[in-house]
Amino acid sequence: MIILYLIGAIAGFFNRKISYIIAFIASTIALFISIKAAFFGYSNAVVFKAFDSVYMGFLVDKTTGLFLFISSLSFMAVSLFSIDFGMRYSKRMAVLLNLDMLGMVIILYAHDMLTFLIGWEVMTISSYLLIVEHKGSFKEAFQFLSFSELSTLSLIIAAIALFRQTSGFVFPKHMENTTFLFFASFAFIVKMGILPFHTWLKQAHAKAPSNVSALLSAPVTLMGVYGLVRVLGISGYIHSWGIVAIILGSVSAFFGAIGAASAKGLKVLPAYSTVENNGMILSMLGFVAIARHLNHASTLADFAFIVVIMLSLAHTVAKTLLFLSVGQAKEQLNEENIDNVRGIHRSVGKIPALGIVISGLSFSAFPGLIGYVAEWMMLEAIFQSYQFSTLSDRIVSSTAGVLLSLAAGFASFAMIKLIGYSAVGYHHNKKAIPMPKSFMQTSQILLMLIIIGFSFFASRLIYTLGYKNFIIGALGVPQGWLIASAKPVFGVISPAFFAIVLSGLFIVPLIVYLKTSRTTKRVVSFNGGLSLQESEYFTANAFSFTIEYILRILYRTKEIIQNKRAYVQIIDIFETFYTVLIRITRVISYRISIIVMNSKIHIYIAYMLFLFIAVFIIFG
Amino acid sequence: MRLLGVINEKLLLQDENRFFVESNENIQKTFKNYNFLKNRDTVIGGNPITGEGVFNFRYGPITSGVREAGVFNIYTFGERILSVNIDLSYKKRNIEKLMINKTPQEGLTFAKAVVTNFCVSHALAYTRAVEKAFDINVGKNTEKIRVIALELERIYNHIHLFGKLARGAAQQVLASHLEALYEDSLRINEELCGDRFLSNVIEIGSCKIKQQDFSKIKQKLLSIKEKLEELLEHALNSYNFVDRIYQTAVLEDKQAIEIGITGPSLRASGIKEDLRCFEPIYKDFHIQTQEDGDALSRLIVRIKEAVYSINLIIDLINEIEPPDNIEIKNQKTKEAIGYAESPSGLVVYYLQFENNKIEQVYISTPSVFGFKAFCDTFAGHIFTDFSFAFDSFGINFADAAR
Repeated sequence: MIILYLIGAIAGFFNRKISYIIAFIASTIALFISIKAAFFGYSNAVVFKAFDSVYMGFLVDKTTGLFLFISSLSFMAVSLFSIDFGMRYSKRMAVLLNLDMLGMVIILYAHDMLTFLIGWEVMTISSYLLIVEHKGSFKEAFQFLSFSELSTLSLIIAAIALFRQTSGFVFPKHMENTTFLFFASFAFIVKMGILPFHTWLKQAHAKAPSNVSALLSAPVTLMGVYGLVRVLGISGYIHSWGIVAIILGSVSAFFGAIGAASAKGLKVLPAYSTVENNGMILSMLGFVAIARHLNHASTLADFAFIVVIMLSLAHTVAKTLLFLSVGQAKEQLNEENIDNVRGIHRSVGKIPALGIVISGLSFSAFPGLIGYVAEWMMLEAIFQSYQFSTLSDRIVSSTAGVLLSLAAGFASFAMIKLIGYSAVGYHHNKKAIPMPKSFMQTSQILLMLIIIGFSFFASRLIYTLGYKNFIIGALGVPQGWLIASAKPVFGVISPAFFAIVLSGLFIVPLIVYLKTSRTTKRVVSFNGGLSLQESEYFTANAFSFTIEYILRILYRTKEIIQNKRAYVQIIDIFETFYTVLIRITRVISYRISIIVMNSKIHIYIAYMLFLFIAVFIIFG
Repeated sequence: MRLLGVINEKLLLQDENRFFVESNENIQKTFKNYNFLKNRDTVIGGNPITGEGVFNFRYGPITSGVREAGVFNIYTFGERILSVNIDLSYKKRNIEKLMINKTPQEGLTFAKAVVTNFCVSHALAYTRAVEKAFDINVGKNTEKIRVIALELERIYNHIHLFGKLARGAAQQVLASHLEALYEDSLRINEELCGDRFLSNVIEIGSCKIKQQDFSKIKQKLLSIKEKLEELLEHALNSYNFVDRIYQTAVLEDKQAIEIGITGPSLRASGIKEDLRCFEPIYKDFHIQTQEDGDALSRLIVRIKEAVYSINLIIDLINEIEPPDNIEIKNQKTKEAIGYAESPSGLVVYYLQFENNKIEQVYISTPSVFGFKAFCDTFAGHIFTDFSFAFDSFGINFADAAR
């Protein structure tokens, strides 16, 4: 599989289409391997001696399998989509896309920290170069790289801590080391785009080509989740880590959701949605940590871990679909804002419109879709925080519950806006640029089927993963089709049964009705007796303004009205902080450069000597 | 001095109760409402606003909430109203043009047709202008009956407006009581004048009223007065109601003067001006004022005026005798101006005659100024304030569009 990705990368220099097809084949193989590892207990390790006592290699276990399974679904869709989409970009994109996926596969297969870091850097650098593929995106790409290298630096410190304790880089079965846990966690949290390290997401996603955005938002941030799960497996689930994770995660989810609710950019909204979803995932990891620490007999820890997996799966698949569908529309209409792509169902096609609807509804926890199952499970886990014994834990978990519930609500608001304005909005007669789209649409259909199918078979998925005690039969639902959130039973849901009932009562009769209705007269909706002018459409900005005004303290909303022009300005306070930081850094570096780089060779030599000695003292 | 209209290049001016037309380019620069009055038939209100996310929330011409055919172009980026301008063209009937070459009697029919709920005011202003031009001096009885009709018109309009504000604020019980009062006031109109909207009362040189036992009418008016005062007190004690109209669409005194607005909207901004106080028939006339200039102040002024009008009618109704009937002969002057203090402000008719027929007409209506005031004061509010802001000015498209 690794070799295939490498071949795919090399093929990219000669033929883009073949390169993407190879990436698709490699991703399909990855999917099969992951199914074996995640569901059927397959495990394997290939280790070789690199130098001295340093061993490197690859490992496949259940954790690898789980995250490879989720990632490979995204890889398959992105590579398939790129067969058409990539034709609009250079051959370099094909090379880098293969390398990006390769980097992530290496991360997931890593048996040791060095291999992990190699994979991490391959992923980071290729992602950076992929963002640059879009014209005029150097600033955003550099911001992505800055945050990514912050992650890398943190991982290097964690690797040093690992080496100091174990005299090697191999991931141990268990190791208690605060430095390792702290820096590794920090690195992965930054990669997940958790507050306040989320600003790169918004910038990079808006500028990157859409297939790259799908990779950055779904599998790349998933590597952060995987890293945390792997690190916690080594360090053990620590109570204080759990508290911090819940706080950071819930705050991040809330801010991500309100960011999405106010977003006007076609790809900025899904970027903020990623911040929200990853916040939810981090919170649930916190729940796992606290539950494991307090009561080993409780099923909450296991259930919360399933929630992490389901949220990761729901987010990765739906976000990939959202970016691909939005990306196709954005590319064919050559527009950046939600307002300007109204009526995708007519101008671009029904498949991308349906893709936006399905993925958006999944993020809105609409019944019958995977997001619904994941968010129901998340809320069930939160409800069970009564099991936490200390008051502080209960306060933290309850507050987090409130924030996460609000986040879910705001996310629905955001998705309704996106769906309503882009996919099914009033058509504004904009002509789409013709593009080959059979592969693009196939990949979107595939993802839609996965989103619906995984919802229907969610109970079977959990059962096959080995969490059989959460799958029961009751209330007329056959054994194996009802998900229980605890033992003894706390709450139950049967997505499959729900879908059957929903189809029987509503969807099928509706389809029959629509098919058998004799004549349909289509008329333009009544607008006060006059036809609607372009300037009279209710804008996406207007849709968001209510929330921007109500939460004006958080958004720092400013209504700018200057003579005959007006607009609403909202500020991401974290971006403001980074802007100030950048300004200070520029001033300091400029001053230092004047002192050091002033064409006087002896000063420059003294400077290099000083740095050399400083590095020795610090890292000695 | 107030500019009431621009007639070609002449200015229709008012100085207290003196009205005149003057052609002076230096004067027109001193009036801030000159341009707005010059373009009153194209668009009234603020400029269109552009910007990211800004759109024109077109309200009308046929939609619930807009009772007449008219368009409000409301520029907003969501909730916040940035600018409003009004398109009157859907209601425009060109009444002034239709009046040309008509006899004074035919012209009266058009004047009454401008707007039904101000038809007494329009007819009175028109007949006063005609009577001036034709040198007709109506008798005291005619004057009294005209004043009674004018005040009856004021009463039902003010009650109706109060009801609309109450309905807008979802004060259903209050609104139902007010609608019942409104119906009572219309029935009194019918009893007294044979028409619910008093459209047949005013005639040139004369007027019409049913001679009868007026004691029942007085009783009914006193009952309306009592209920109206009670309902106002109740409304002012309702936080939910007051909250919707307090500090809504605030019209500052300076702004009111610049726009040229008259009537209760002007008096609610603290300016003590009512031309009825110059008429001898209104003995010791007391002008109702409020200071805040908001929708609440305008409501209070109106209801106090309605109560005052009831007292006035009760005083006058005892002295009613059959009106005189003076025939129209030949015109004595080429041009004349007549006015009336309608429920929403001054209605002024400028008429020019040639061979006993109308040669030129200019009608200054209170709604033109009211629309401008509404546009200027509604900016900055949110759309849910719309009905409170709009209704508080007591304006309508028919009156403004003519």
